[in-house]
Amino acid sequence: MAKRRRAEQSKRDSQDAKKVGPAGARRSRPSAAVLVGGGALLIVAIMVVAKVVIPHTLQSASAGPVPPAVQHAVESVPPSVAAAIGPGTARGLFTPIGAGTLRGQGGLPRIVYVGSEYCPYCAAMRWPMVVALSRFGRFEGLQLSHSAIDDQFPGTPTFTFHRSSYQSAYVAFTPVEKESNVGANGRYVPLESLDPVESEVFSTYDAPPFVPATDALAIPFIDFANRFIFSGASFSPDVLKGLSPAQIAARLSDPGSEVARAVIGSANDITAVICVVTADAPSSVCRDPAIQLIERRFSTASH
Amino acid sequence: MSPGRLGTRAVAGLLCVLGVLVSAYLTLVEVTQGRLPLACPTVGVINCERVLTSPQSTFGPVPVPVLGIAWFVVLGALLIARGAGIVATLRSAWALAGLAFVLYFVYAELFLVGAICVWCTVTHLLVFALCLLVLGGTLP
Repeated sequence: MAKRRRAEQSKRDSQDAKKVGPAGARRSRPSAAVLVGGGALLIVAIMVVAKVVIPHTLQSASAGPVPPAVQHAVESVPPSVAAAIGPGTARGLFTPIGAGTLRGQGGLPRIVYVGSEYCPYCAAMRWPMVVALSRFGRFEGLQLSHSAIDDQFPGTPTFTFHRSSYQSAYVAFTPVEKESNVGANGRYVPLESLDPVESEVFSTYDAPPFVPATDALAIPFIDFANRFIFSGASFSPDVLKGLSPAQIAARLSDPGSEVARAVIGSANDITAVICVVTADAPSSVCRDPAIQLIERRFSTASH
Repeated sequence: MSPGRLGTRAVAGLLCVLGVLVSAYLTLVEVTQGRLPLACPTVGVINCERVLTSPQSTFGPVPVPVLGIAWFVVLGALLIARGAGIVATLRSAWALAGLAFVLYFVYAELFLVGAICVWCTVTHLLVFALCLLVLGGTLP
C-alpha cells in the first residue's frame, strides 16, 4: 500500500514538473508582461498628469533649435526671388507716426516688437520679420515654436524670439514675447515683461488715434523707431497651415508659391520700412530696385 | 501546437498586418505632402497634421511611419520563425525596443509637439498589445 502511494505521489510530482517547465519559466513569463505593460502605462500616466495637471512644468513648448536648412532659407532668400515677388500678397498695415526716432543701444534706431507665443498672427509675422531682419543683422538662439494648439489657426509653425538675441550694425531689435504657448482656456504662462520704454511705446502707439479703438493693444505690434508702427498680420496664418518649418522654408525660394508671396512680400515691406528708418543703410539691401520701389511708398507717407 | 497558441499567433499576426496598414497610410500622407487626405479631426489637442509635419515626425531623413512599417514587418517575421532560444529572445528584444520608441513618441507628442495624432496612437496601442503578447509567454 505504502509502495503504491509512493508511486502515485512520484507520478503526480512528475506531472507537476512538466506543467511548470524548465526552471519554472512558464510561471515567470506572465509576470514579465505585467511588469513591462504596467510600467509603460505608469510612465504614460505620469506624462499625461504632468502635461495636463501641471501645465507650467514647461514655460514654453519650443520645438527645438532652428535646423540649419531652415536658418539658411530665411537668412539667404535669393535676391532674384525677392525681386520677383516685390510686395507679393502682403497687406501693408504700416502707419506712419511723426514722433522723432526712437533709439536703442549704440544710438541705433530701435525696433520694438510685442507679441506672444500663443498668438497665431504673431506666428505668421515672425517669418517675414526674421527674413527682413536677417538682411540687416544676425539672430542667435532662435528656436522653433508654434502658436497655441487650442486657439484659432492652431499650432501655426513659427519661431520664438524668447531667449534669442539679435546683432546688427544698423538697427537695435528688442522683441518681447509676453506670454508662452503653454496654457489653457485663453490663459497662458507669462514669459517676458516690457521695459519702461517698450511699455510706453506699446501703450501710446498701439492705441487710438494710431490704431482703431477695437484693435488697441492688439498683438503683434511692431514699432519701427517711432517712425512707423505695424499692428496685426499682413497675411493669414492659414497660408502656413499643415506645413512644417522645413516645408515653409523650402517654399521661400519659389516665387510662385503662396507661402513665398506672403512671407517674402511681407519681408520686403518690412525691409523697405527699415531702410527708411536707417536712411538706406546698408546700401546692398536698401538700393535693391524692388525695395526702392516699395520704399518710395513709405517715404512719401512718412513725410 | 495547441488551438490556444494558434489563436494567439493569429491575433499577433493580425495586429502586425494592421500596424503595417496604418503605418503605410501615414507614410503615404507624409510622402504626398497632404495631397492624400488625412482622415483625422482637428479638435483641441488632437491634430494629426501638426504631429505628422513636426520635426519629430522624422528620424534623420526617414519618416517615422516608415520605421513603424519596418518594426511590424520584422516582428511578423519573428512570429513566423517559431521556436524558443534565440528567436524568442530576438522577439522579446524587438518588442521592447518598439515599446521604448512608443514611450518616446508619446513624450514628443505631449511635450514637444503639443498635439496628439489619432492614427499614431492606434499604432502605439498595436505595439503595446503585441509587446504584451510576446512577453506574456503565450507564443512558443
